Amino acid sequence: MTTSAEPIDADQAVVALYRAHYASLVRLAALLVGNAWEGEEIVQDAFVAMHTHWRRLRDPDKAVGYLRQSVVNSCRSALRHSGVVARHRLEPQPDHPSAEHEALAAAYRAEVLAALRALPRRQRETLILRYYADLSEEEIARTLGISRGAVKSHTFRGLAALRGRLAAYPSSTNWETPQ
Amino acid sequence: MSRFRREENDWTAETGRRLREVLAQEAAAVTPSADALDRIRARTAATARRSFGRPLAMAGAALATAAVVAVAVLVAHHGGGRQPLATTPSTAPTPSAIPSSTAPMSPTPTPTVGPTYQLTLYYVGRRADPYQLLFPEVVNRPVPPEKAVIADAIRALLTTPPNDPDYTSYWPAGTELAGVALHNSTVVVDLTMPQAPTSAPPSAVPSTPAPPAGLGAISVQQLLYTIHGAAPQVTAMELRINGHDITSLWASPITEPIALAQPWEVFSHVWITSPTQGQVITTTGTGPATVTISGKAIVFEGVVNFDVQQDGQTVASGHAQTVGAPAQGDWSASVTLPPGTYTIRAYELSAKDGSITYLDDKTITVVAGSPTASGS
Repeated sequence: MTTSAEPIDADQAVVALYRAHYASLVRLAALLVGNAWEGEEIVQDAFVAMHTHWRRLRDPDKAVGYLRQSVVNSCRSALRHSGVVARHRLEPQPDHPSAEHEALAAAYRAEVLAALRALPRRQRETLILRYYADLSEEEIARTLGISRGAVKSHTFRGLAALRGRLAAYPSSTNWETPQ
Repeated sequence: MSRFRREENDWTAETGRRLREVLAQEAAAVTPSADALDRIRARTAATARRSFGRPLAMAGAALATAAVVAVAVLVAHHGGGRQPLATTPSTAPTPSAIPSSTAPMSPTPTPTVGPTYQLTLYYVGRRADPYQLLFPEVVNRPVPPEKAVIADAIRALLTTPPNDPDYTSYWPAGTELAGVALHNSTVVVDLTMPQAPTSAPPSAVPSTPAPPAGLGAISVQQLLYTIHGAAPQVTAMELRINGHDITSLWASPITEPIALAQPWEVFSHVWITSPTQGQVITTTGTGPATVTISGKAIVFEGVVNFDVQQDGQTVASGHAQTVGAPAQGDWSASVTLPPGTYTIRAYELSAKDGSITYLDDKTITVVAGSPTASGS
């Protein structure tokens, strides 16, 4: 049996990775699949699968990649099974209707998300992994099992498709173009 | 949060930034449920149970280390003002959590729900014959912190009623663990008890027949065997009750340190360890179920007799061979039972008059399983 400096067992790995990544993985899954509850189930399944395969993974970094990959894959099949209906999920949050600009922002967000969901699958996944999960091209390529070149081109095309929609809303202070 | 990357082009940078903003807002609206870790661990624990040896082995290894350096095992005390026996400082904030003191566990203190291990609790038989001998019951417990294995076993014993109605425990309700320390193979256990231990036996105890070994004597063996099961290197115990060393418990004289008795002195001669009391067995397909009965026995010439009763009628009987007394051997037998409720009995036949002695029995139910996956 090889022993690394501080081997942790599968149970400890679950706890550690849960604390570090569960919430963000659920959000990632929710964005990919379009609703939060399905996202949670998918992520929990991924943790259970990771626990089962811990002997092979061992390394927490590898395990994060494994979790992300199973989440993306499960979201894909979930979408396939639920078909078009699920396409437009994630209710726009009924924010404070009193604040007019917030209502406007919610409507804007809903439109952007609808446009995102209408993109080809790879483009959508690439954009979410990059702009929500903040992964590098390299990491996206590994997660999706495609080349870095493909990641570049999906990102570019996806952004191009959303450009008009995203530009339609006047910049808030956060969105001011930096010099 | 948003790590800005260099973009070759203004519009992609701006579009990306806006998309990042939208996704972040959308994601922020998602609140992961609070009990998700529990649910994941309940599912992974089911896997761990199937190969439960590992957590137990881990715990054992940790204890072995503790024994070598004679380091105190520390437990939280429910009561408050009492002195723990151990010298290791502890400020456990929650009475229910067992502090692991210096346990080098990663990554964070273990929550209460998680992987489980199997712990054997010993109970005292209620029947007149065998009177006041020990029977085991296996429970699944969350894996305790590494150095709290003994404390966990004691707490489990004090708070878990037996599953089999023929078993009991005479430790009164409200008995609590105040401290536990381990010195080589001797465990020092500090209990608090609502009544003084020197007085009469608890009222739950039937007055006849008189306990052969004494109620207190069997109860301390019950405790020590449960500890020994969780931490096999422990073979002796010093028991303190309400802060005092004891010389007697419920009118049984106690000599400290209390040594682990021989199995044939304190174990009932015949145990059924499977099936368990109340177990429901599902037939595979439409036929009867094949039920494997297994257990341990310390019996003359190694012969264990068993039968299966339904509505007072014997529907099956036989005997199994194991090693002869004084060794405790494993025995098993198989019976084929159609759906119904049964009482499985195992016993030793008296060498004197052929009567049934040292009876253990389990009531089980066999239900028809459906040949298809959808039935239940």
